[in-house]
Amino acid sequence: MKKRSADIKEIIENIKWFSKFSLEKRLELAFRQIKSIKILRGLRPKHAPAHRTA
Amino acid sequence: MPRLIEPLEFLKSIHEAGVLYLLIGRQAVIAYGGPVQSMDYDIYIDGSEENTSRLLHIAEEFDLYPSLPKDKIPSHFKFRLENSFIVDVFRARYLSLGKSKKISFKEMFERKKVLKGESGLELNLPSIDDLIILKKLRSLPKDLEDIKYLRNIKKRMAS
Repeated sequence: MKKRSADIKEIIENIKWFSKFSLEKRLELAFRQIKSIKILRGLRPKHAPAHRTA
Repeated sequence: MPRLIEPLEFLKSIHEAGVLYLLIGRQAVIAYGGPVQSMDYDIYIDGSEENTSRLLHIAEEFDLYPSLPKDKIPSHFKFRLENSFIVDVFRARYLSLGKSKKISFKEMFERKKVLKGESGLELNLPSIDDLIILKKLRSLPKDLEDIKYLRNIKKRMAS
């Protein structure tokens, strides 16, 4: 029970913090974070699939 | 005002072109204010030929390539647009909720919420209740986490 209310409290705090950003900034923050993860993993942007280039 | 990141420019373009779409998945949770992570963009569209063509035309301008040849798209309920970012496109008329219940794009679109940003960006999102329904369809651990966020965002919006 204690753990559950701690989880909810954390969620509420996270929402409160994240909602301070504009719509654009929220989506951009998520995008930049994921882009960094992709770079760390060595993933590269994809290119046209075969049926486009054939 | 700084330029938008490319996926947002794409979403802005399809919104302004009148494509009938809803941003779903984790990006929708992020848009509503849930700080979660997501690699891809998921959109649910009206699957008509005209609407799909309009989307594909804009995708081409962004060098996003469909995962299927264009003539095969009408027979698939899902395809992917990809290049430097990925957009999964769902185009089924209905989604099955089990126990012979279903939910249609049309119903969800009628209940949509248009979120507006400070730069003039506008995005179509399903209502929070509809987004929760979509999350329940899959019910992976990350979907359950998203549902917790969405329920609390809904409470916060109501207070």
